[in-house]
Amino acid sequence: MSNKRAAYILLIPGLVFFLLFVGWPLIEVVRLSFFKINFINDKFVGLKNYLKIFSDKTFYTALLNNVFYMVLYTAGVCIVSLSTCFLVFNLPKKWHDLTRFVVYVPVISSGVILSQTWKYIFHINGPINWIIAKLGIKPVAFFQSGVTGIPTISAILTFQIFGIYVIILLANMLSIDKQIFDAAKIDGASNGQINRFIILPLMKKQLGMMILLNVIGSFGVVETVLLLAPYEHTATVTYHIYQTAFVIGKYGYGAAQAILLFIFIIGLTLVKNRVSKEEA
Amino acid sequence: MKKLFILILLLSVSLTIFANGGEEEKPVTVTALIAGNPAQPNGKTLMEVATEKLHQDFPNAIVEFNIADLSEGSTLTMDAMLAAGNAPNVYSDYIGRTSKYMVPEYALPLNDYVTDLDQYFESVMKPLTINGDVMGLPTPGGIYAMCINLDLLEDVGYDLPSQENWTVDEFLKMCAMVKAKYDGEKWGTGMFAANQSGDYLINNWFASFGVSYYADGYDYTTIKSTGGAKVYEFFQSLVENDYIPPNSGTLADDYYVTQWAKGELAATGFFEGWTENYFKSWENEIKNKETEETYGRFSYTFYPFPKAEGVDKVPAYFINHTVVVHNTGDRRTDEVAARLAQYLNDADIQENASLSNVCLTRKDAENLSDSVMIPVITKIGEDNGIFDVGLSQPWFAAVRPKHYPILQKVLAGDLTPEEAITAYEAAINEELE
Repeated sequence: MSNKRAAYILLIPGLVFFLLFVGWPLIEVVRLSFFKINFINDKFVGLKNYLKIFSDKTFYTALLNNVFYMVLYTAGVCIVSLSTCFLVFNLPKKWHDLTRFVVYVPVISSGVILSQTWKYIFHINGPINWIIAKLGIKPVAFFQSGVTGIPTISAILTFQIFGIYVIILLANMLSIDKQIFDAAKIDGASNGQINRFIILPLMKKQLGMMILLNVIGSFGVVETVLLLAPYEHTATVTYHIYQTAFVIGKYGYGAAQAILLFIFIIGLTLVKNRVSKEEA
Repeated sequence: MKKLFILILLLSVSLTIFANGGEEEKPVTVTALIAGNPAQPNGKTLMEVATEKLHQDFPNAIVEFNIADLSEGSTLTMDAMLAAGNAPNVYSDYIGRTSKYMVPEYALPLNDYVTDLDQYFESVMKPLTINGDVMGLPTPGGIYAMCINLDLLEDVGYDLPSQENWTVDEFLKMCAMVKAKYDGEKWGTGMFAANQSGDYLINNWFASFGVSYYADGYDYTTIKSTGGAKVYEFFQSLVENDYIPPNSGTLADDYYVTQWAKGELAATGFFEGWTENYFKSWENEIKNKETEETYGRFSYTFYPFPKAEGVDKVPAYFINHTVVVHNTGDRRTDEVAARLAQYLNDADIQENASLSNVCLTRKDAENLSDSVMIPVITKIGEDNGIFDVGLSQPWFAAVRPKHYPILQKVLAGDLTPEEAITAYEAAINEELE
């Protein structure tokens, strides 16, 4: 059997799985987006569902919220993971291992359980408010408004995900040739200058990738919002789609929103690929 | 020889036909989607009891059932089954969800199938009847009224007026007295807006202010033109004065019912059918946590929601489940399914349900509840009438989840009452178009 034929045969299981669980549902979502669906007597409505999105204030609210999530969450992940890496970079190897272990625990923990824990922590009678009360400040209902809810959720998401980037960035930092640092030190560079003018530029590619992945990831946030703050003022676009389709029961309209989001994310992915290609 | 062969052939064909005719009928399989499968006094479940009765009429019938996922309070399970081409023959759930399926395109008119329709009260059958066709069977239900914590009122020194004098002003006076004594620990009333389940409570407040939901024929909503903004204004005053918990906008029903059971709410909307359950569940929570928190049930009574100035009577919210049968077009399957629906809601089942302190919908069922509150609540319903929120309309399930996001903004002060009622009016009318 030729290598080419073997490759095609080996592709079959994956391809079947993909077509069945990704390809077919995708086609079905596109089809649904042109219908008003109640599964009893579905009605073809053409582009009406798509046009409706442009006058849907709640969709715009979710989109705007998502922009805030995108900025806060992406910045949060970048700052926290980079800071952690810089903090342990010059320490002995055992500290690197310990850091990797500790920061990765939230990544492999169940999002549902973590969300429930955070819900308790930020509850009006929870530990954060207990501390706030000790400072003589009125308790804060963190999830009752977007002003406090979105930053709080962004911080929680950051905590849940930054471990992945610590692993990636730390590995990258440690792979930089030590002679470069020695040379810089001989030239009188401080640790801060080494970080800023040597390490950061050398990790530009990984940082760019991290930013793009988090920007895309921020549009997929639904679980944490659903469990912690299932409200319009904290909704992401994905949560809004879930709400439209599965709670209100407007499956066709929800599908149209999902297709728009899909196109948007495809666009971002193309940008990401282009950036990666240019830097390669 | 040829003739003999043909004769034998014809004979054998005829015998085969006769033989087939004598075979037992094929078993009919009916599926049911139910919102719960409560235990009956004999230790069996609702479905087991109904299936046993069905087997007396149709020995070969096979019954399969699923429990609906109600975590979102939506029709998700039902829609998933329909999308999969697997519509259940019988669907029993909260009327606000089943109403979506009580349409001629889906539901089987039960007039020719259910043999005891005359046993149902006419008033509860009326909303389920479309052009003379009975589209569903009403199970026992609950009247939502204001549950008043008498111990707390005594504690704060508030004298509860008679029902006739129970006004919004009196209610606010009571709230102020609770706040004066228990600022931030106990509340005049409760509210929650994290999910759509709050509609019982919120809608009853609309009734308090004399607001009506729909024009005759349900062509459009009258919620704005009949003064709905006043209700939101009232809600915002409750927030501003700290008469409700500060996080009400983010509270869900689970938390609200616990607040009630803990005796933290002086007067708030509740069902008598819930009281025992939530007293017990809080009691168990205390036991399991082994905390030092004390627990004591409080004495309570039910009143109508308070009336605003110019309002004579405040109608109450009544909810129940409905059993709907799918019209498959197959007479025999539909007959078996309709009979199952009948047995899921017969007099025995209703009598057992009455032990959970609900109001019956059948004339031939005896109320076995020993709750002294059932007559009180029933009288509230009789004296004040039932508030029409369009529960039996096919669009209700789509209208219902549109309110709580608006309410969240009202409670957070992000919308003015006028903006909020305009948004709610538009959201409802969009579904009615």
